This record gives sequence, structure tokens and C-alpha cells, in this order.
Amino acid sequence: MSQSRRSNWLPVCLAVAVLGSFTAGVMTPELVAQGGIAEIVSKLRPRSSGHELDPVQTYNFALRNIQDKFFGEVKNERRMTYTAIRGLLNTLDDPYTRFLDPEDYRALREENTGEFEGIGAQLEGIPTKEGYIRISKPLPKGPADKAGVKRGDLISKVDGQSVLGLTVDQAVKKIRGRAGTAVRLTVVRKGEGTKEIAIVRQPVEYEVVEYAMKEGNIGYVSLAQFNELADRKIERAVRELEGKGMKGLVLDLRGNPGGLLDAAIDIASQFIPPDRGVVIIVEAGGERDLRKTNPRKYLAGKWPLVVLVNRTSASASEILSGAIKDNKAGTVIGTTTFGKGLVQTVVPLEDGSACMITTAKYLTPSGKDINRSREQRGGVEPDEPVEITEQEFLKNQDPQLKRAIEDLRKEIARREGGARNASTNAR
Amino acid sequence: MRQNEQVWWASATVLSLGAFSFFAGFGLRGLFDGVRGGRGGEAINGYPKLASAAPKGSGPNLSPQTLYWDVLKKLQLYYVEPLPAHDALALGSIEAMLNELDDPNTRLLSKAEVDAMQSASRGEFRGLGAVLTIMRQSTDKGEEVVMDSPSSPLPGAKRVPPTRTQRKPANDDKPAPAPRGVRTITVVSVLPGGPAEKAGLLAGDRITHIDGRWIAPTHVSYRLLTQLTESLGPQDLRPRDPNDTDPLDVPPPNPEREKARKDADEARLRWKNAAELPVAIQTLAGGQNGSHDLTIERGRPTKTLKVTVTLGSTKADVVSAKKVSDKVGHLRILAFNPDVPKQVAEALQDFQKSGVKSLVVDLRENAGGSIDAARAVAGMLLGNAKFAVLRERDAARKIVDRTVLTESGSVHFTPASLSVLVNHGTAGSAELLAAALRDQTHVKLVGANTFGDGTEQELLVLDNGAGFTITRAQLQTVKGVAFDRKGLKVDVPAEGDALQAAVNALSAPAAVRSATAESGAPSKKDLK
Repeated sequence: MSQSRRSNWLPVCLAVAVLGSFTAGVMTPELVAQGGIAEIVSKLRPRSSGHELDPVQTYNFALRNIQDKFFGEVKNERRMTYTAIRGLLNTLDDPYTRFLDPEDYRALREENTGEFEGIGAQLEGIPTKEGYIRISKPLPKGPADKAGVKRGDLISKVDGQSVLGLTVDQAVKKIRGRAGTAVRLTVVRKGEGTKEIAIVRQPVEYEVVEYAMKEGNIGYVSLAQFNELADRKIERAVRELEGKGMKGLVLDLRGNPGGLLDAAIDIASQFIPPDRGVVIIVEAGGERDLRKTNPRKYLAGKWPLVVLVNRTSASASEILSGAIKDNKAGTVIGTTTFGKGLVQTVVPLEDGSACMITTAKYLTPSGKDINRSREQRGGVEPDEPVEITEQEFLKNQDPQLKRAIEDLRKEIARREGGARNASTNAR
Repeated sequence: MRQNEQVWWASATVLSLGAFSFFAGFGLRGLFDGVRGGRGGEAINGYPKLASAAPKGSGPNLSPQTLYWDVLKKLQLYYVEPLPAHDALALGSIEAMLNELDDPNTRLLSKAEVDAMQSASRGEFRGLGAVLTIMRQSTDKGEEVVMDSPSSPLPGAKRVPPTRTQRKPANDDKPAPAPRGVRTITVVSVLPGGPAEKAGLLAGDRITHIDGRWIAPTHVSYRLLTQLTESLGPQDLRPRDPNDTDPLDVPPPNPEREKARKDADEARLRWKNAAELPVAIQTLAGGQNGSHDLTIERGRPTKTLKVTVTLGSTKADVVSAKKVSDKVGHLRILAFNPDVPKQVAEALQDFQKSGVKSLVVDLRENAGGSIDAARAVAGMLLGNAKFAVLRERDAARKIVDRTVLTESGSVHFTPASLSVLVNHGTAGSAELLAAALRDQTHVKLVGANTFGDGTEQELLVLDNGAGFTITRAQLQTVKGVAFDRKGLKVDVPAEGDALQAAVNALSAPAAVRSATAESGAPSKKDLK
């Protein structure tokens, strides 16, 4: 699902977002792991009451025996313990509850600092047939732009290493890095041959919301991620488009990996009538919490709405699209969404590692569990399924957006016709 | 009895289980971690919304045990669903640890398997009537040899270009390993008269499918399945930047890529519908009855066969003794369990009384078992002598070679002539005995080259009846030759009437050098 090819405008600066993480909350554990431990761990043989194993004692028993007896190489106790914890978490059959060793956890925190450090350029999602990676757009005034990188440049090497055979995602990984460090790109430019460009990586800001007015006064707003600014930026975009006479709106959530729950609820409040349910949150213990729209935020109603989603729309995107669908506040077009209706909380552990635990799950307002599992595919099913084929992608066609605009036109025409009829009748 | 059993199990070299050597570690590492849930998988919603907190100073003094305990407590507090039973949590944890050791025979055993092993030691063989092991087996298809690691788990999917950013596996401190074949259920030996023999199974057969389902080399957790789906799932193309009107190079249709994609689809389906190896082995060796269709791979180049087996219990005499002629006795030993020395002693005494002078020791389809039992049998035939060399770890985890002597009891039988009959189902401590007899007395090994199970496992039984095996040592012959995965070469290959060939190959044993004459300290606490 997470394919490099899926995203043609995978910007270097966006790679992190594309990987999709956004941890707003890192939980401070109330729980301090002390007391009684020494006693427990000193027992070598796993005791059990009623023939049920005690996990701690069993783990300890296996650890000791492996260390004492195993003929092959044995990793140190800490590594073995990490493995045991991974095994423990694996029994939950929940792919999202996982262990982060100190290195993973550090990487996660760096990813989540909110700024993306890179060269500020969007790359074509598929390498050229020669294996080069094509720059589709250097962000204006970004590090790449300043260093003289142009649209259409073909990257052949990164720091002297060939990109042939790499996927775009793999190349992105090589290009990205800490701010202040430099990366050397070897680029091939049409008519100018090969040149080397050194670029100092910088934090790159990118727009989470892009918007435009399409033909027929149809507004288009895309949201790349649900961050703290998303709600305000969408509101501003919608108001501006309304000011220009917008008659219908396309909200594009394709490729949006999610983000803050509150942002999703706020944005839903703009499009769903007051006091309707947006999402049901179920926490450990089974308590249900129905979150409703904020009535002061409601903007829509005067014009029809279409939401675009695809398989990479996840989490908060699914809450928003699911809520719009359930409340019949708009039409959902595209492909069935990813299917992630779970919330994780990162729980730091004492030794610098951490545990990402699924602490809650979402249901759509109608109570539907959209999470993908062994039992169900999950995801929000579009009202109108529309795929983009590879050929269409290569020809730069967007049948999903096309369908959205067609639908909106019909709906606008219907409403205008209806309004005319209504006024005729009144006469 | 309980005590006895305990001792036996404690010292036990597990009946069955064979062979695998230790390449530098790599294995299911990564199976339990770092699975990229795709984009959605990484999306962490900010709920509950709390201030960020860096972890408290990392405690180098914090014991790992505390860490494990801590994680368990936090799961109990925060995890959204009810946790699985304690047994499942405990077994899942140790299974991960055992798998990470990258030795197919250091593994978790279900209660049913442990029970079946214990009944096998009493001569009651349940299920398939064959001793099974797990070995890494490569396929004939060369490059399509697959690792049983989730980083590239799909047979036939190898040539799919990697399509997403692979984060370094979390605990990756070693370079990516070379493909080494898939963990496969392998037949070590076939019990005469049992379901496996009736279905025509042979030692060395690889069982690849059960009831039409491919046997996946590991548990197929939803995490793993998700990962497979993620790495090979359908693509979702996002339209290009509408402002970018430059034409793209349209790649020509690429049949190779199409094929790779098709293969990947098939592979994914195969994993989805797979039978998990631990479940399959429990079905076959766990004492259940019933009929199953098996797909077998045999030999190299591989022949594929389909057989139907009807599982059931098979009673067999572990030790049987017959006179081939007035002077020649045929002693067959099917396994080495703690009762075997006594039975062999009785058989040898009977032979002595009835005037048998020459002996064919028949170790065909003997998958081994207790090394102590094999030592005791060797003691009856060789007296005090060196039996084998065990390469193992000492208390400081340094690798040491320990010479193990025969165990000489009250019964001695010195044959006028002797030969040893073996075949591809001769494994483990049976191989040790065959090698000791040959090396110490220069008599001939007759039959077919042996299996090559040169490791020793200890079985540890947990309170709920499940257990796990740990590979403790590498077995070597008296001459210091390791035979794991190689087996012993026979001196006289024989097909057809192998017993007659063994009778023909009888020769006078050379005098055995008594081990007590040497300064080497005999090890008292052998094989604890």
C-alpha cells in the first residue's frame, strides 16, 4: 500500500509526513516500575498457580536457560529482553502496538519535531526508465531552489552514490538529513550535461493546505496532514473560495496519513451541521465517548461537497470522511481508505526505549469499526468508487477529481434548477 | 517415576529433533518489530493529547527484567482490548526469544508435542509415526531461495522492486544475511509399520503442504500479514502536480515486472492461506488422529509427491532382537530412550545364552534420543572407551570440547564379528553410536549415508505442559568430526536386502583402547 509510486509529488521535505507519523502526545507514565521486582526476578523457575504461566517468570526462566545453555551466539540480556517484549506485544495481533528500542524511539521523536529537514524539493514518484529520479518541483526559496536545482533535473547520484536501482523512497532517505549538513547531488540537466550541486539541508516548511478554484466555480482544497494549523488554514481557504463565488467544493484527503484528532473534529465541524456526531472513541475498559461537531464552526450547507480519498488516506482522514459520509454531508469518491481506526500512545520506558500502545479506537458516528484487521478489510468505502490506473497516472490524468467535478456540476445544476422551480411554484 | 522422568527430561537430548548448525545470527529478527504499518500504520493520532515528555534519564542500572515487567503492567493499564491469557503472553514472549537465536531446533513446543515426545519414549508413537525436525531448506529455484524473515518473506516475490522506505530493522546490528532457505518440516526417520511408512514417506522428505495449504515457516501474525500486504499491496497512485505539464517517460510494458507482480500476488495469497509451521507440526506430531493430504519434496533435484496419511498411534518395540542364523544376531534399536539400555542388555544376554557370536547392530530409522542411553549401549559392546566429543559452552560461555566416555555397566558382549546397519533415517545419538563402533573397532557401516543430525537439545518443560528445546551442543565423533547436515558415509552401500549385506560385511572388531588408561578425566556429570 505504501508504494513510492503512489505519490508522484512525494517531496523530499515531505518524506516524513508520507511515512505518516504525527505524535502529538507522548504520555508521561504515571506508573513507576518499582517494588517487588527483585523478588519476582530472583525466582528462576516459573511458578504458576493453577498451571497458568506467569509471563515475567517464564520470560526470566527462558532467559536464564538460554544464557546458560544455548550453544550459539546469544545477544546481551537487554537485547534479549527487547525481543521478549516484541514477542509479548506480538501476541496482541495488533500491528500498531509495538516496541521501540532507544534508537527507534529517538528516530520517532526526531520525525515528530514537526519540521522536516531536507532540501525542499518534490520528486517524481517513479524513477525514469533510465533509473534517474526526476525533480518535479523545487520549493520556491527552499534550499534546493537557492542552490540552483531546477524542475526536470534528473538526480543520478547522491553523495557520489548512484541512485540506479533505488526507489524514490530509498533515494529520499539518502537525501534527507539533519539541518545544517550538506548533501551533494549529481544531476543531469537537459542540454547542460551533468553537474554537481551541494545543498545544505534546512528545516523546510510546506503548505499542508493547497487550494484553487477550478472551472465552473468549483473550489478545490487539499489537506496533506491534520496538524495544528490545518483547521484554520482550511477555513481560510474555504472562505476565500466562497468570496470568489464558489458553488461546490472538493476536499482532497488522498494520501493524507492522519494527524491530530482534534483537528479532524474541528474540520468536520466546518462541513457537518451542528451537534452531529463525528466520531466515537472507545478506550480501554470499553467506555464510549461520542464527539460532536462544534456548532460555531459550521461553514457548509450553501454548496455541495465531495471528499476524495484513497487507500493511503488514513486515521484522521478516515474519521473526517467517515463522519461526512455517515452524516450525508457530502459524497465520498475514490478508493476504500486505509483502515486505521486505532489510536496509539507512546509510553516512554525507563531505559530510553518506549512502547507504542493502542489505547483507544475510533468508530464512525454510526458505530462502524473501520479498523483493518484479520477479520475485515476496514476503511471508509467511497460512495462512488473510482480508481486511477497507472496509464492514467502516467498521462497526468486524475479521473477521481474529474468525477468529483462532474458530480458537483450535476448537483449544482440540480440545486439551481430546483431553486428555480421552487421560486416558480411560489409565484 | 516422576523423579525419573524429570531426570530423563532434564538430561534429555530430545528424542527427535535434529540438526542445525549455527550461522551467525539472523532469523526471525524483525518479525516482531519494526513492521511498517504503511502510512496509516505510522499515523499516530494525538489522543490523548498530553504534553510531550522526554523519557527520564536512561537507567543503565535498570534491569531488563524490570523493563519487561513494566511493559506488561502498562499493557494491562492502557491497551484498548482485553489482553490475551497469561499463558499466551508468556509463550509469545519466549517464542520470540527462542526464534531470535536463529536455530530451528531451539524452539517452543506445544503441550501436545511435549506429551507426544514423552509417549514416544515409551514406545508409543503418535500421529505420523515419524520423527520430524525443522530444517532450513533451500529450493531448487536458485535465486528464489527465500529467507524466512519478514524482510523478504515471499517466495517468488524476490524480484519485485522494493517499493517503500525500509527503515532499518530495530535491532539490526548485523549486515543483511544471505538467503538461507526456509524452515521446513523434515522427516528424520520413519517408524516401521506407522502411518508415515504406509504412506511411503522416507527419511529426508520435506513436508511443504498440508491439506493443500502451504506450510509457512513461522506463525503468521496479523502484524506479519499486514507487512506483507503493505509491501506488495495494490498501488494507489496520486495524481501528479497539475501544474507540472512535462510529459513523463512512459515506460514500455515490462513483462518481467508484470510477472513479478503476479508472483507477488500469488505469494501473498499463499501466506494468507498458509498453515503455520508450529500448527502443522503439532497436527502431525501432537497425537491427533485424522487423515491429511501432504505434499512432499524429495531429493535434489526435487521431486514433488502427494500422499495421504492417516494419523494414529503406533506401538513399536523400540528394541528387537532376532537370530539371523545360529551364530549371527540382529539387534535393532529404533530410538534411544532411558529404557533402551536395559532392553538391549537383556537382548544381548539372550544372544549370549543362545550361542550368538556375531552381531549386526541395526540403527536404521533410529532418530537418536538420549545420548546417555546410546553411551550405555556402547559400553556393553566396547567396554570403557571414548564415545563422542561434545562441543559446548562452559560457564564463561567459551566454546569447549568435552570428551564423553561410554558408560560401562555389568553387561558386556564382545562379538566375534560386528557390523552396523544404518540408513538416511539414522540420526543424532544413533549416529554417535554408529561412529563410535566404527571408529573404535574398525568394523563397517553398511546401508546408506546417515541423516546428519549433529546437535543436542535439552527439553525444558513449563508448568502448563508446553516446553521448549535449547540446542546445547554440537556433536562430534570420537575423532572430532562434526557430521551435522553431512551425515556419516557408509563403508558398504547396500540397497534391497540391507540386512544380508550387513551380515556379509561382518568383521572382527579391533581391540578397543580403554579410555581409563588415559589421563583424560572422565566426565561424571555428563549430559546434565
